[in-house]
Amino acid sequence: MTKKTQIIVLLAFFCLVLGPFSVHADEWGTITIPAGKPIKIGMGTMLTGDYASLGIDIKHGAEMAVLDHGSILGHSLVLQAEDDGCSGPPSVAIAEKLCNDPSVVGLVGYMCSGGSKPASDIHDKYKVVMVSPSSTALELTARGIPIFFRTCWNDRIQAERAAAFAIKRGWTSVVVLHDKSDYGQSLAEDFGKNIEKRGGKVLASEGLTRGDKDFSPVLTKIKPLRPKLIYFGGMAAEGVLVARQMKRVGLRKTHFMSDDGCYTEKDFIQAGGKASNGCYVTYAKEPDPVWVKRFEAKYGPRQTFSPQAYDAATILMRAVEKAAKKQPDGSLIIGKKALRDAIAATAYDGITGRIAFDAHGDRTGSVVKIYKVVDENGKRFFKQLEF
Amino acid sequence: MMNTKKIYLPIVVLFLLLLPPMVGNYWTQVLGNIGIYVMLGIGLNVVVGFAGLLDLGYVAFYAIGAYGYALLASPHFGIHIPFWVMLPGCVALAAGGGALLGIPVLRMRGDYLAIVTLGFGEIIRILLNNLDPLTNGPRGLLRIDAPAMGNFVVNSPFRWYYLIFAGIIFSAFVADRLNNSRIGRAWIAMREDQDAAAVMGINILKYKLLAFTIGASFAGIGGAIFAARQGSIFPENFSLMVSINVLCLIIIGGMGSIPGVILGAVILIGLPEILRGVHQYRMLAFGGLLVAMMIFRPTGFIPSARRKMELRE
Repeated sequence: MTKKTQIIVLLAFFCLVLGPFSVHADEWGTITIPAGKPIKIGMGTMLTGDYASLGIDIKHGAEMAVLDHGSILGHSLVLQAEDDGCSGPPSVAIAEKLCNDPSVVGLVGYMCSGGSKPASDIHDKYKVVMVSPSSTALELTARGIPIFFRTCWNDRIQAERAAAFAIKRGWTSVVVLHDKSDYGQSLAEDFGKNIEKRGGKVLASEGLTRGDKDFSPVLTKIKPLRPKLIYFGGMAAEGVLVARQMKRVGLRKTHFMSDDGCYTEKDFIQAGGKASNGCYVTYAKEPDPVWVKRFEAKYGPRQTFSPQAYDAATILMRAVEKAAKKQPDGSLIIGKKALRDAIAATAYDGITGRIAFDAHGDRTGSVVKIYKVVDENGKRFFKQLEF
Repeated sequence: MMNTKKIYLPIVVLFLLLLPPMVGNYWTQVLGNIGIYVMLGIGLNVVVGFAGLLDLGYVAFYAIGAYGYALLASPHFGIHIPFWVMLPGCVALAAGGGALLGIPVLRMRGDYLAIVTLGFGEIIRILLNNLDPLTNGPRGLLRIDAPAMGNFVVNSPFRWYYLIFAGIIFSAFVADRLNNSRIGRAWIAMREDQDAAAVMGINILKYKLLAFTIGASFAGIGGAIFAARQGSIFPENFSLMVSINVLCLIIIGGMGSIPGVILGAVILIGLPEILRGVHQYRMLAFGGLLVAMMIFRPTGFIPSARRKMELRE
């Protein structure tokens, strides 16, 4: 035999022997959970710091999902929550930590887009799936990373819906404010563009500084423009102050509208008091009331993204169930690509409604609703409007 | 002193070189974070430790280095200059920033200097956040190129570790040589008594400017590495807290000493990671440790020999 035929024979032999295995092998590699060992669900969310109440709410949502699910194919489940500080460097460190943990199958998170952006690069490198309950930035799904999914909406949808609502109500002259953050500015500018596309007019667009307490100078400057609506892109800490102070400087007839950052009972309605009456915010469809009752009995009032986190964790666990192959020795083998595909193929009625993903990992269908703060029977709450 | 140094130094270096495979990816990533702070610490140490100029805006140079690299090596403008070309470029940019800050503050001392530098640090961050057409504002710069040599791309925590390690060795070497040079002694004289130093023939303006410029250039290296390593940067990565952290790690480690800076960075940046186990008590434990530290070892863990003698009197 010549050398060439030798090699061909050898190759053919390997193909014959390894062929049956290569059918099962996953092109992205596999995760093996040894018999009797728990499956870990990773989580990155803010546990300490400015928005810790939002972050802990997310953690509670995922925790409840894990407890509800119980186990997968005889393996117990553990939620490993890490503090991502809502920013890049800690999120990247956590990504390295969890992607290298052989018993972590995937991750729920990260909380903020600023953390999800750099961390998703790491997840893409190791091909470990992530399902974010709250990172809404457009770029996350626009850049073609296959392992990223989210159970929230992307900011484009949120801006579109808010603008369509405003125009329908006849609020055609608007002032756009934002907190100069990644999230707030993108959203507010997008909202402005949508208003103009629908024939409205943006009278002014101003950036505020996060952490400031007095916005009356900006609001006083806006007052002579007599806008019908002030739209604020940002979080409740600043949003609630804008809502309060605009009444004080005399913008009484102007409506206030904001985003999911202001959809929080504690930081917006309670902190705003009477001034929060009549304010509009955008958020997902109200979650299943039975679930909310169960959640609040266990953890107290919910904030914003716990239902999305509950669904994100549930989707991840269901996909693991589908992709995992039980071995005779009791261990589990999970193909990373198979797991990713199982998530991509999700068609599931969660507590936040029907969940399916488009090719980019965005949730399909309009899931953004308009809410108004109302005072009924002595109780102030977010009331979902028909729109 | 010199002899023990000769013995332990190679051992420590060898140990650090072998560390990553032993601790795995996650800790290597954390070690990389620590390494970047070591570089910043070495740089700020030149300004604060050697020359005695309290600089609270050091993060500005770090930001200049990072944005300098990110703007010229990312799809943002479609320019892709190689990392190795940009590295000296970032050093030059940061040094230029240092000189820019140095000129107006040449006649200031002590608290006033601290306030002006504090303002400078904030100005740079606010500029980055508001110059949307140039810096993409709060949305940050994404998909920054990783350094490459042919097909070898520095993209794993291990490779980054060794690159950062090389950077630290280089920075430490330069800082050490500076400290023991004519310039270093001039800085120390200036730190102890500016007027006496001037009388002795030290050109205060020149040496102050030199301290700011050289100190800043270390941050330029650190910034470029940070940007390339994280792959995306945002103005919020360059908050005042970075300046404070770097200053803290110098004080904890021991002002004016390079081993001190390294230990300080390990404690200040590494400890919060180690303390992840105690979750919400993490920051409490950390704060308590800092307080205890300042009470029991006010000179820092490894004070420089000269400082030690000063405080013993």
